[in-house]
Amino acid sequence: MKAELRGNTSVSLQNPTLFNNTLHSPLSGALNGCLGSLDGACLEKLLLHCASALETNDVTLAQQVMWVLNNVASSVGDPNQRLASWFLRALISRASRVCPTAMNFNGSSTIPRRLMSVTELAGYVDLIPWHRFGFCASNSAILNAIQGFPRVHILDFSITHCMQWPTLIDTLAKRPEGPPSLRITVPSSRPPVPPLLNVSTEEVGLRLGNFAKFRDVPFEFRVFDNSSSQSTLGEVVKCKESPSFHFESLLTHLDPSTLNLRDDEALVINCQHWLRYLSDEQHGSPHGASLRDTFLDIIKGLNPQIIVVVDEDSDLSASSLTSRITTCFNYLWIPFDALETFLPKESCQRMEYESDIGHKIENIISFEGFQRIERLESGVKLCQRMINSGWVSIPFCEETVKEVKDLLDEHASGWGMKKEEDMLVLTWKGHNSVFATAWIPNGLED
Amino acid sequence: MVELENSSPMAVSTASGEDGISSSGCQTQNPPIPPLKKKRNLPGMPDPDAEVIALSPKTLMATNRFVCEICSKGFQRDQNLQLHRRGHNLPWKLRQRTSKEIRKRVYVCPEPSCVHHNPSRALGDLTGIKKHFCRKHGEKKWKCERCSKKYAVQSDWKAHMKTCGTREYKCDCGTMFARRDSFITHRAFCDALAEESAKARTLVISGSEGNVSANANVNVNANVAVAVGVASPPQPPLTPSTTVVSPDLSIQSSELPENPIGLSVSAATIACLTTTAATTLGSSSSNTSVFASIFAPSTATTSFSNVMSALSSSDSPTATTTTTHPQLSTLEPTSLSLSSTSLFLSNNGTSSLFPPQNQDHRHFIPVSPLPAMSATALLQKAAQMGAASSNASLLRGFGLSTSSSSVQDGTGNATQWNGHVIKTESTDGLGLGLPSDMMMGQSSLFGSQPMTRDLLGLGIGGGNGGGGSNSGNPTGGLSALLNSFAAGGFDVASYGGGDHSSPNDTWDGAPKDKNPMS
Repeated sequence: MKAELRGNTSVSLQNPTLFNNTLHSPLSGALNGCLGSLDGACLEKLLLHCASALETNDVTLAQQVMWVLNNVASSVGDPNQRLASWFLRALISRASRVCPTAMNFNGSSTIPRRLMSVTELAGYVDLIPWHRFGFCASNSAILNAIQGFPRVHILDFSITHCMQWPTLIDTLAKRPEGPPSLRITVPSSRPPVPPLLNVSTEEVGLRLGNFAKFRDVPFEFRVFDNSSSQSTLGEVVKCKESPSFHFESLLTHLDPSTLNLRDDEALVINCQHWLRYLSDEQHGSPHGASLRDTFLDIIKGLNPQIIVVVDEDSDLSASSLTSRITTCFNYLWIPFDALETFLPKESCQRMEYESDIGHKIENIISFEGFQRIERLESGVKLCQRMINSGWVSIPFCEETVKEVKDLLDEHASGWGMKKEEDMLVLTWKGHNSVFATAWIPNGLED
Repeated sequence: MVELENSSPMAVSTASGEDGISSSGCQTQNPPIPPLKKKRNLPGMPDPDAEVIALSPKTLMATNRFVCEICSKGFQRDQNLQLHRRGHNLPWKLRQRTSKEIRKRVYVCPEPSCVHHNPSRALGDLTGIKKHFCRKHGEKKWKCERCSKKYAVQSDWKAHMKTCGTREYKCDCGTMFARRDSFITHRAFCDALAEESAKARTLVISGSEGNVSANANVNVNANVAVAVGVASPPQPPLTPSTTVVSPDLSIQSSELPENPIGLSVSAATIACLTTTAATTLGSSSSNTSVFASIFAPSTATTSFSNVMSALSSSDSPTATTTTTHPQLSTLEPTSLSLSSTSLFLSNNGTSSLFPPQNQDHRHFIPVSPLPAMSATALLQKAAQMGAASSNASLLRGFGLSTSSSSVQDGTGNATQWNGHVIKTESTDGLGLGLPSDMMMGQSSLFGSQPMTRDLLGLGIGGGNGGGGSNSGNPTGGLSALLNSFAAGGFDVASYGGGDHSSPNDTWDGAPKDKNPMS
């Protein structure tokens, strides 16, 4: 075969003009410029061509490109190959999916994910600072905001199952004037995304409470049931089926009495990699507000001391598939690249982490409509949204910045941080990855 | 627009130098360019106005790139050069930097196979790209005495020396941590604490996890322990000989899992994942099996597989990285699944959850993603494949069978793709391997493409995915493709060094044009 290849080479090079034919196979367009090695640029092009082929129902081209991609991609290869393998998977998933319906959202993810134990999850969130960055900045900002308050109530909206709180509890325990009473409330249902735990939220709360007791911090944990059966739709809906339903139900539960808010408490709202799951599409409501805007509005009405919003710094909710692929490919290479620096190719932890990113990729690429729940919004846009919603940003103090820097120093050396106005941004080799912001309601500044 | 420029040392030094761009370690706020507010780049999109600078390795690593034009003294940093120039008592005009409009500069890695060779992954500062180049493609000259970690960049080594062995946190369960926050988080949820406070809670996982980690050897971290615990109930337990693999072993190509082990463990792990998947939020079991089968090793020996294995034997590179091998063998589809042999064999060789520094376990050998298979080669194989196999089924080769794939909506008639309703037919004309009820009747649906068009677009009629023997057709689509490739020349050099015709439309930051055919 090798000889054959070389043979072709020599023949074609001898008479290059002979082959300047105008018959352009679609695949040649896809691979134009990808001579020799297939690097990241080519992979991206191939993915785009595949997506384009799918959108125009060009099955043949899609097959061809998929075949090529399948030969290049590998979930145990180098970062580009790994990334490409998850994209390919998402495209195949898209290709084979019938028109999405409300019924089958639950069964639609093709990526099996095993459930982790709490200690595994603790290790997972510390693999790269993707989550810990947000934890650190947020906890520090929260500590500043609750100074002087004897009681603190945190409304925790996140996907990492309370991994953020042990360090906060630990710091509160060391407060010179003694710790405040701490209450943490979480909604009963969370976005159906990894990381997944093998224990219930209540169990997590128990352990957290245990730890707080161990550190002598008065502590309460509550799961408030937001999967309401008395839905506004007039019929009983199983809220796990459709995330938009469960979020709508969530919003109806965000009132002082349901949340059991108390006057002497400092209310803290914590949104870690969570706001992006609230739909940003204008709904048919009177002012055309999206779920996301409505949520922010309702929260503001609760008069919190502070809201911290941490999320992924990328705009990935465009309706155009090709633009999503490009943006996604040029964004999610970051964790793949980061994991490559310190974990071997066969590492189980690494592959699980990448698989979870694959889950995200699948959702972004393979789904449409309300099933596409990953609606990432860049920091800049989020800031604008917050301002429009009547919030004022508060800067992170120097101490916080230092803490975050110290945290990053302990990770691989490509991780850095920068300030963009009041926003802190986690960077990998200079590229934005995660942003952290803190806000107070307009009019509350003093 | 993005340009590629090979700067000589002199050119760089006379141009506006590095104006205080901080190191890659931590970037502080960029000073706004007066009078404009600093334009923030779209995440993921390179700054279209940025000047992409590609330095050769020699230039990159040259220590004294900044040269004083007056006395030719060389400096490592531009700041130092500027400081030095002041001492020459230059007239005011010359004291200014050579006025060139301040343009953001980004740097690409000279190593062609590197991900940072690509302009969209360029790094924003020179020190960063230098360090990267050293770390990734350089020799590790610096070694920690205490723990024998090696570093290519001296500052990395220094940073490591500061923390090595200084802080270690140990949980009651025996796990060690290098960082306090990891330790605290773990501790809060660890069973050791639960047991210590004598709360009576019986959890299946907690029991086994506690036992396993207590008995664990240094090399087995908690993840592996629990993974084995999870894996064992539904499947025959993985024997110790197949579970514990040291990092060194897993690297050497000769010791990669062979077929039997690979297949058996993969089967076990797929099944395990399937079982677990049933309990996850995401998957229904039928769905899982469909897609497990896409990526599962196909036990049936199709001509596709034969070609693939022929490929691997003939094109196998002599040395280089190991991961290319499984791709080219019949295990290739396996590699796309989560169930490679070593899925449950994770083993960093460290007992702490996180090594404090950027740690390369081995010397990264720069190699293109698939050294033996250029894009052209892939297409050629595709052509031969299409010719050889009578049931040319691209994705069937992936192990995805048409008949068994059942997608969510079981109603054969109502399947849709982009909203079209397709009639079901019994024959699988294209053999795409996707749900048969979806792919049938494509001739009516997909317009101009004849139903019997074979998978590789050779335009050959007749029969079941008939690749036929017409691969020699010079005007066939695939041949044309190969020829157009040939016309472009076999430039094995990287994308960066190769033709520049496409970069403009790829990297100018504009959303991709949907129509690839121009």
